[in-house]
Amino acid sequence: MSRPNETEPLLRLKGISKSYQTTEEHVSVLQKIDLSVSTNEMVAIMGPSGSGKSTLLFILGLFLSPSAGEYIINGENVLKLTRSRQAEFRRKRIGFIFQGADMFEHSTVYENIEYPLIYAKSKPSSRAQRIHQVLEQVKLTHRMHHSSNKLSGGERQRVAIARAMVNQPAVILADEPTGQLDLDNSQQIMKYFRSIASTTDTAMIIVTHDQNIAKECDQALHIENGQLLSEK
Amino acid sequence: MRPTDLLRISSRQVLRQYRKNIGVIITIIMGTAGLIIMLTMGKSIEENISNDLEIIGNATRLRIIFKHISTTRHPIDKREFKLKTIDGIKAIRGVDQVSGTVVKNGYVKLTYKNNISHFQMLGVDESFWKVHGSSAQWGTLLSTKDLQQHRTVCVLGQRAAQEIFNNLDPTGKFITIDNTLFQVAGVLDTISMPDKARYIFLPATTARDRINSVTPVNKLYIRCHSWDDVEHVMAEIPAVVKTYQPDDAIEMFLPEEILARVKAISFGVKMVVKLALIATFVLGGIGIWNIMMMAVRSRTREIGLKKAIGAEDYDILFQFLTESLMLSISATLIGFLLGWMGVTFTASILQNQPPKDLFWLSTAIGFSFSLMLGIVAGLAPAIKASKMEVVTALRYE
Repeated sequence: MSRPNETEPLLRLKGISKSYQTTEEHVSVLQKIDLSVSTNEMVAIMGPSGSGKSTLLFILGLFLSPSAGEYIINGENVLKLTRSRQAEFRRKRIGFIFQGADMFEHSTVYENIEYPLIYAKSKPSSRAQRIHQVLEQVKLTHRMHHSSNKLSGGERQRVAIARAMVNQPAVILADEPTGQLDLDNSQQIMKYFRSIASTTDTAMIIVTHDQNIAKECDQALHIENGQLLSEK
Repeated sequence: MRPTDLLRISSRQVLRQYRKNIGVIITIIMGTAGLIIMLTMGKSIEENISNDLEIIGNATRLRIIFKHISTTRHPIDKREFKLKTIDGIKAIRGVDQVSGTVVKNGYVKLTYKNNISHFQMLGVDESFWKVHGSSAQWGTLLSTKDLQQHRTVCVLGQRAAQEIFNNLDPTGKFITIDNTLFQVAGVLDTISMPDKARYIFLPATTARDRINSVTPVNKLYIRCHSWDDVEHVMAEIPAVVKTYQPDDAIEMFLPEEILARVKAISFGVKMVVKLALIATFVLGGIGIWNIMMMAVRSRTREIGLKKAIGAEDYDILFQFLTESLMLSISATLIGFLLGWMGVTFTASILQNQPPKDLFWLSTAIGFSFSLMLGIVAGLAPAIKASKMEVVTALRYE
């Protein structure tokens, strides 16, 4: 198992807070979160429902702006970027894996993985080779032209991993990636995660309820009531 | 996103989801085909409707007689429309036909196989039938040659023919009119002038030669090209008459009430057709808008996912807009084919081939309409989709 980079972290959160004002009360979801993640590192974020872990993931994915704090990747405070620059940053530097392994319906495995390349304006001539590479990593080349609707849960999640990797992001964010999988499939997915983290310059941040998943990671963070309580 | 990718993704979406869009596609197809047919054949259809109404109503037919003012130079019973006057009236813009008639004061005596009956007689020229929109029930009507050669032929009104020949075709039979033998050329279908059903029609030239007590040409019937011409033709006629016959005053008669009613019916028909077309396009537009709005709702997670993997607002905007345009353009192309078939079919029925330019102009208008429809109806849903927040979209169930 590789160890986290002890030098300059890839990603750093400083005093990140998020709160909402409803008509009745002031809701504080995250309170002064500090977090450092290095290249090749795997970080698990755990916590009960409503603890704020998904909110933290959305902030890390630049989908939500925090109420306060700084978010620095490779020395750049990405919260200061415009909406368009944030989208550009997201497609070049961040990969996503969602809980239900969301696929583009009525599309093939190839077409699903091609989307990030399309939005990154990559050359059409180089796409097929790249898609083949990532499908090889998750051992799904034989399913390349199958409809995504006909895949099993484990296969869908592997396609989601391939899609997240295709633009060679600096960090992959995964929201309950094994939540709907059985034990065998969960272990297989974690193997792929470990393989990606160790063989590419990518960090992985995984939101999970599963203690076994957390044990596989380099850091396991516990969030409760919006506060970071513990660190492995 | 590259334009080629945009077209590829959008066409894929439209093709794979065509079942959901079939209703809207059919609406636009029918609307486009209808628009092309109406714009190309509209004038011919309008003329046909007008002609049919015209035959029933004779709304564009004017009647001119001399005023009953007696002067020593031109006694009332001797006054006549001169050939120059008739030619002058024919030259007025909007005049289609001019016909002069002579009449016998009283009745003519008609004898057939020892049966004697009395009818009114009208001496007509070859334009008389066109002015009245008349046709023959049997045989033929009087021709230019009949006039030029002063032939002893006649046409019978429907009721006159029934009374003499008991509903049998009298064409070619010989009858005696005021002691002159005439051959029956045909029987007039008097639907357009029921008051002439008991008339005998002779060539005006023959009538003046052979029948006693026949008036000169003191009555003119004028048919205008369309209803729009009636007013200015009426305004110009007195000046023309004054030019060639300065001593004669005229009176003009126009069935104003019929004209107004026929205009109202025609306006109603045109309005119904136009409203139907507008309704088709509005419904098509609402259909596209509704489908795209529903698509935005049902594809909320897809939009969120696309934004999460790097799609920008304009990528989503252009994709939805392109889908909307593809939907309307593909339907328009099918509508164009159907419209072309419709024009060919309608042209064969009306026996009126429309100009090619008009067809292409109609197609261009139909295509522009469709393009506008796709943009207008697809814009609001596309904007809504593009402005969607990723978190809201991803959390949408």
